Amino acid sequence: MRKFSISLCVLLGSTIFLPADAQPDPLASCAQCHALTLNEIPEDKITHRMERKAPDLHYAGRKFNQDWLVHWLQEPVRIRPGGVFFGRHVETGTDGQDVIASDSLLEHPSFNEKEARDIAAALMSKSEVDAGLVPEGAYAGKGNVRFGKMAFVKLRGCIACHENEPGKGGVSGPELYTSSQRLRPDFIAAMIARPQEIEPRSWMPHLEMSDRDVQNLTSYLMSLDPGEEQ
Amino acid sequence: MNCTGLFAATLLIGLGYSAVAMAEPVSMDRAEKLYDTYCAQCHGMSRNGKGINTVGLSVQPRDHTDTKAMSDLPDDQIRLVIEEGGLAVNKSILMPAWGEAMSAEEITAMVSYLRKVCKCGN
Ligand code: HEC
Ligand code: HEC
Ligand code: HEC
Repeated sequence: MRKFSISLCVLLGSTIFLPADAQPDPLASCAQCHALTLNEIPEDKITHRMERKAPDLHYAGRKFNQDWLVHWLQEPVRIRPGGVFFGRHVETGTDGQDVIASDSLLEHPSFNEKEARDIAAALMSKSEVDAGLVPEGAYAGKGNVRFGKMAFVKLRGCIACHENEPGKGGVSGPELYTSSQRLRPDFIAAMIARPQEIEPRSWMPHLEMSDRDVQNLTSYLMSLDPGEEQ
Repeated sequence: MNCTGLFAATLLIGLGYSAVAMAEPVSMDRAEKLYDTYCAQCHGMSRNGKGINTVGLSVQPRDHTDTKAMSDLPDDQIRLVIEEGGLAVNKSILMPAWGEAMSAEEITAMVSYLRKVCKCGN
């Protein structure tokens, strides 16, 4: 009820009090599922992660490619095969094996092209994460793809939680076979190096890693082409 | 006591309280929640080693309900493997390090929680 009355006020406010040329906030409808600012995220991060309906978007501008956003908002496809928190979508079979009950996963709202452009532009202005955490140039652009792949599938165990092609790999983390289209390379490198600082209390562990590993892994992920069989 | 004094006193009590609260041992309920977030993705919601990520995984996670196998692991080794990952105890890299995700108190609670799950407290 409180949420409802707040959005009602926002709605009234925007129609009555804003100057005639001002547009309503394109992100207004996102707030029912996404945190859009840091101070909406409660102190107890573990509980937040288990209960939140959708990923936090307070630093979307440092994370996503704008072109991808425009496209995805018109035709959203699943990014997290296990949902936002896998624990809400697990079914345990009679053999004791956990699987994701895919029909319990939410379909994302979609938007027309004009809306998608406005929303994407608004998202790109969100950069509420400590600037030092996703520094420009975190990805130097010249890692070794082959070593990166070896690290991903074998030496560093990333494959346990991430798919590097549809249906192959772990399902508790976001798929990474579209990362070259979806994510900014500086974000990828920063996230591999310091996941617990960018996404506090994530179930992606912070693994001790040399910068060379980080660069190789980023180059590998940037090389994945979702249109192409690996 | 004037208003400012009262405010300062309340603030001090508050600070003292939170400092104490931070050093306090972590409850079993909290450890269970941490397990559900960090460990169940591989070790399973039923703690049997059959989490959602294990299909196709080259080394299968430990079954934490296996009383016999778990009682062979000393507390020190369990602590080390949680803090630094599989490689630190000559096991698979697929068991990640959680030392940056959990505090020392939380890891201590996690060791006790695992002892509860395996019914092999020592
Ligand atoms: C009904 C709830 C709901 C609403 C409303 C909603 N989203 Fe989402 N959103 C989700 C969920 C759930 C996911 C995770 C999808 C996935 O991983 O497959 C998501 C994912 C996203 C992602 C990808 C995030 C990431 O970190 O991978 C973006 C970007 C996004 N939403 C933008 C928006 C915007 C912008 C709006 C408002 C215009 C919006 N969403 C409204 C539920 C919602
Ligand atoms: C134990 C599971 C786990 C392991 C192991 C793991 N990750 Fe992740 N990873 C995650 C989760 C969960 C997220 C989503 C972050 C969040 O919102 O909590 C993530 C996010 C990411 C992202 C950002 C993707 C996005 O869309 O937000 C990248 C890039 C990434 N991981 C790369 C890696 C690499 C490279 C490795 C190996 C060095 C790795 N991960 C190991 C679970 C894992
Ligand atoms: C990405 C998957 C994954 C996650 C997440 C994970 N583990 Fe493991 N764990 C494994 C695997 C695989 C093994 C088996 C390693 C081997 O036998 O070589 C293992 C083994 C163990 C062992 C036995 C170590 C030994 O010496 O035999 C313990 C204890 C353990 N894990 C605790 C945990 C705890 C506690 C958590 C959560 C904080 C956790 N694990 C999260 C994959 C995982």
